Amino acid sequence: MKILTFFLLMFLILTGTVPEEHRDEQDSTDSGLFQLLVRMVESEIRPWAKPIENVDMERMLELFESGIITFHTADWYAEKDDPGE
Amino acid sequence: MSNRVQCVLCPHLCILAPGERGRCSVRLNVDGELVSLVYGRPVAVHVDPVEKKPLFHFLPGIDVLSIATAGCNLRCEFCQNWEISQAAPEDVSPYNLPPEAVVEQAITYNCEAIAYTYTEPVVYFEYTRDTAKLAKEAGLKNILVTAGYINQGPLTELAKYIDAANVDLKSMSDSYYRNICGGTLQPVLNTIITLKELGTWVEVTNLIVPTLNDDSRELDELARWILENTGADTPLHFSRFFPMYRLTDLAPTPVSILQSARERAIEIGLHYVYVGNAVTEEGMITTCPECNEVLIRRQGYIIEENRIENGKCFNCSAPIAGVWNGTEEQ
Repeated sequence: MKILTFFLLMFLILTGTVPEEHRDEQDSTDSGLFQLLVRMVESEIRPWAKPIENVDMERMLELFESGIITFHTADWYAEKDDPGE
Repeated sequence: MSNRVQCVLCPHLCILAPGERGRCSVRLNVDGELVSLVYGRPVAVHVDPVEKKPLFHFLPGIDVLSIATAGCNLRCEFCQNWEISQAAPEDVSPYNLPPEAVVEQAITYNCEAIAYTYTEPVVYFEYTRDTAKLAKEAGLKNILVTAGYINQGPLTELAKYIDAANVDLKSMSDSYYRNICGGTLQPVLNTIITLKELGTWVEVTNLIVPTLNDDSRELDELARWILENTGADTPLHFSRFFPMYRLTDLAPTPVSILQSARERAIEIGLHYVYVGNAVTEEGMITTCPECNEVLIRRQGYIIEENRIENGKCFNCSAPIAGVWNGTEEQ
């Protein structure tokens, strides 16, 4: 999986050059792809562990309102800077 | 700002974007704030004998109010409680039981201790800590039954309120931890040592799974590690595997392997080695390491006989390690 990511990264770097006039419209796509790659690399740090999951926040809010789950402030976490910033 | 957070509770160190939850499935990033989804929402609440945890050297015979929420930061393929440990909180029906209600329930049911058990108390850290704090103030004991996959900071904070712990040391092989459990070995070893250093009464359990971790050299290494790092008086429980969760194709552990592991651990130098989840007479008794007299005889989780007097052997007065009716000998 790491090899796959490496090749994907190389592919994007090598094919990432676009004509100057298209630079602006390409930026958001590049940023999105970069974010995707960052996420992939991060998830691969522990490919043997359970995955990190995206949740349906609307459903979570419904569950919270019905009392099934809580949104109790947790301890032991830190804000994390975006690597793209 | 990306509103990403990093949970530093356990060694996974999950980095979570808003709307993502950690590998434990119970800690969610809501707009840059990490929240617990299971605070005060246990899915299991039972009264158990302390022997079921298992703790054999901690106030034998007492009843313990045992609670668990959904979630676990490991994914052991043999998990005996996988229906709740591997469930997301929205997949189970919880009770509404805030910390003060847990303490009230314990007192109502004449329990002398509260155990945080069945799944993984590390992932419901805040609920465990707040309940344990109130329980301690009410004169109750607190018991942690854990796989020990937690970072040192939160462990030290939690240990202030924990009187006894049974730590599941699943193997001495890091690859076993990675491939079978979805974790790593070293943090678990650190947890055992830290709890011991902080004065928590510690017992260790090892589930012997046929073909996966039943090699005699590895079992001996585990016993030797306990001897060298926490001492001969740390009780070790070899527990029998039954086909469960993702390992239904394996047979139960032969009792002979459990007995053999026990005998070798005693030869290595451990004083108190037990066999769990199997009916064996010698695997359920506590004997004096000095004069070899039988001190506690158990039938299942029932104490048939207890001849420890004021923390000492009734026969030769050798101190017996443990917490006995308020008298601690460690």
